[in-house]
Formats: sequence, structure tokens, C-alpha cells
Amino acid sequence: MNYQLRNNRSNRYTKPLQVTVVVIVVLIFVRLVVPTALDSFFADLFSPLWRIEIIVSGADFSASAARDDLSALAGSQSSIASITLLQQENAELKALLGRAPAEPSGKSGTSAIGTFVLAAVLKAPPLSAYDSLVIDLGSDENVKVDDRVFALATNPVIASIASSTLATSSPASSTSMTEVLTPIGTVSETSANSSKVGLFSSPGMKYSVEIGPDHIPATAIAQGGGMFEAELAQGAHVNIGDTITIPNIETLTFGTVGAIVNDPAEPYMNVLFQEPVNIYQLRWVLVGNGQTVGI
Amino acid sequence: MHTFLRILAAVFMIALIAWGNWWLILIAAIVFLFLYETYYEIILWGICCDALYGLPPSLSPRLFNLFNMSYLATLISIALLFLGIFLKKRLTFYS
Repeated sequence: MNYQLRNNRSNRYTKPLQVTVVVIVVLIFVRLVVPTALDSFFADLFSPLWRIEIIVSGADFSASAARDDLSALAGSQSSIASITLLQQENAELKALLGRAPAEPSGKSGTSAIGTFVLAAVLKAPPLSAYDSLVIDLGSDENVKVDDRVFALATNPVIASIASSTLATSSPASSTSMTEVLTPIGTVSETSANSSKVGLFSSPGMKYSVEIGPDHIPATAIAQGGGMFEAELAQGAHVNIGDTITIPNIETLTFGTVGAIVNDPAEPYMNVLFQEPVNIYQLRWVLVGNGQTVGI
Repeated sequence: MHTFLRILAAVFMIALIAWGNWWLILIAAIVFLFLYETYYEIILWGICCDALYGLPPSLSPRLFNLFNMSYLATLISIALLFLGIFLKKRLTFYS
């Protein structure tokens, strides 16, 4: 009669365990010696595959054309009379207070808040499990770690003003007027031809924000997927649709209040809000070269 | 033939990592885990996903981080590899 040896059972695990230990040791060694080596290697390996997707979808041509026309896009944005007037007034006030606005420069395109470059989104949630984007610009295009990433979104405040005061204007002009740049993330890693962007809504991230017309200060905690939560004291004057802004010299819209969870038994109420841009549908973003404004 | 199919499976996984949803990658990895005796490649796919899409701790405080990088997918892949070995030992299909 044959008996199965006791250690045969553990032998099944021996080789996988050895492989796993070797992989972990190599991984730690590579991380310690060249921290970005693995990221750059895989990014360079997968960049051609992502570009195939862009070429197949026909977005590549659009990307190059859009980059050429970026200056025109920025120009058309700032050509709207009322916003230009407000920007001038804002700049004058800042100059009076010793806060000069950022000088527009660079060939890629400029806005009231500095220089930016248009980038195509190669991969975005929910395709990636993390709250991260992969964009088609890298260090070759002067994209650096910690650069701010913006998306065009509809500003509810400007939209309401536009709908009430510009009822006679064409729908197209009022639509373009309501679009504003919203910060959505930060460049966390760059390779030659692509960059990884960490979104502000990555779970657990905390930000100082101001809520509503009363500018109630609060700490927003990211929940993932473009969603945030903030705790406010009971009785705080907040309504659904109120704008969330970042307390900074440059007023940047961070989101709009979507729901208020108010339990009278609790000393606090929870304000749930989302970014004005849907991160799941992002196709283009603007990378602010050297931007440090905002969060 | 076996090697050729395994290479095809690897190409399929690379395509999924590049263009597919994260849950598709997970499902395909689990399928291959049970198709092949010991699917070591699953660790490589985990490392690959972390390197491509993972965020540093400053941008992902709730995820498992080590040496300034997230290792969520790598840990899941290692756990799946050993779970696969453990389950195969107990499934009559493999005996």
C-alpha cells in the first residue's frame, strides 16, 4: 500500500513560495535602486498599445489638431466680454494687493491662470482600478511631476448667471461661457511619452475647501470616483447645488453640493459633493506647466 | 502547443491590461489560474497593473503602500496564486 508522504502537501507550495520571495526581493531592490524604473519600463512598453487605441478611434488626428488650435481655444475662452472684464478687474485688485497674476507664456496655450498643454487621456477610471489617469504627454513635452491637471467643466454659478443675463445670446456662446477650468489632479509620474495623473478624488485624500456663498470652511475627504464628503456643524447654511471652491487667491471651482445627509441626532451633517467634471468620460485634459495654484 | 497557448494567454492578458476594464483583467487572470497548473504570470500582471496605474502614498493614502508605491494588485495576485494552489488540491476536477 502506498502512503502519501506528509511533506508532499507542502511541496506544492515550495516552488511558488520561492518564486514569490524572489519576485518581492527583486521588486524591493529595483524600487530602492531606481524608484521609477519599473513604472517607466511598463509605461514605455504600453504606450504604443494605448496609441493604437487612439489611432483606431480617430482621436490621434484630433489631438494634433486640437493642440495646434489650443491658443485659439484659450483665446476664445477669454474673449467673452464679461469674463474678460472680471479678469481685468481681478488682476487690478490683485496688483493693488501685491499679487500679480501669472504671466501667460509658452507656445502651447495660455489662460488666465498660466500656461497649459492639451493632453489626450489614454486610460481613465473605471478601466483602471485606481483613481488615476494615463495621459499621452510625458517628459518629452516638458510635463513634470506635481504639475496640476485641469479639465473643462461647466461652472454652475456662471451657468446660472449666463442663463439669466444672456437669455438673448445664442446657445453656443452661452455654453462656451459656462465652461471653466477645474483642477482634477496632479501628475504623479512621467515617462518619455506618457504620464500618470493622480486624481484628487483618490480615496482618503483630504483638502481644505470653502462651501457655498458663505464660504464655510471645511475639510473634504475624497471617496473615489470624483466624489467627496465634508462634515459641517448642524445648522450650517448649505444648499444642494452650492459651489465648493478652493480657498486660494485664484478662485477655482472644486465641485457642487450633490446631497446633504442631515441626522438631527448627530452634531454634524455630511455634505456630499462631486467634481463638476465626470472623470469617467474624460477624453482631454489640460496640464498646467509649473502650475501650483489651487490645492 | 502548450507553450504556444500559454504565450497566447500572455498576449491576451497584456491586451486586457492595455485596453480592458480592471475587473476583466481579474476575471481572465482567475480563469488562467485554474487552466494552468501554476500560473506564475499572475504576479507579473499584478506588478504591471501597479506600475502602470498605481499611485504613490501621497495620492492614495487608503491603499497598501511600500517604498513610495502602491502594491494592491501585486498583493491580490500573490494571494490568488496561493488560493488557486490551495483550492486545486481540494477540487476533485484536478485529481
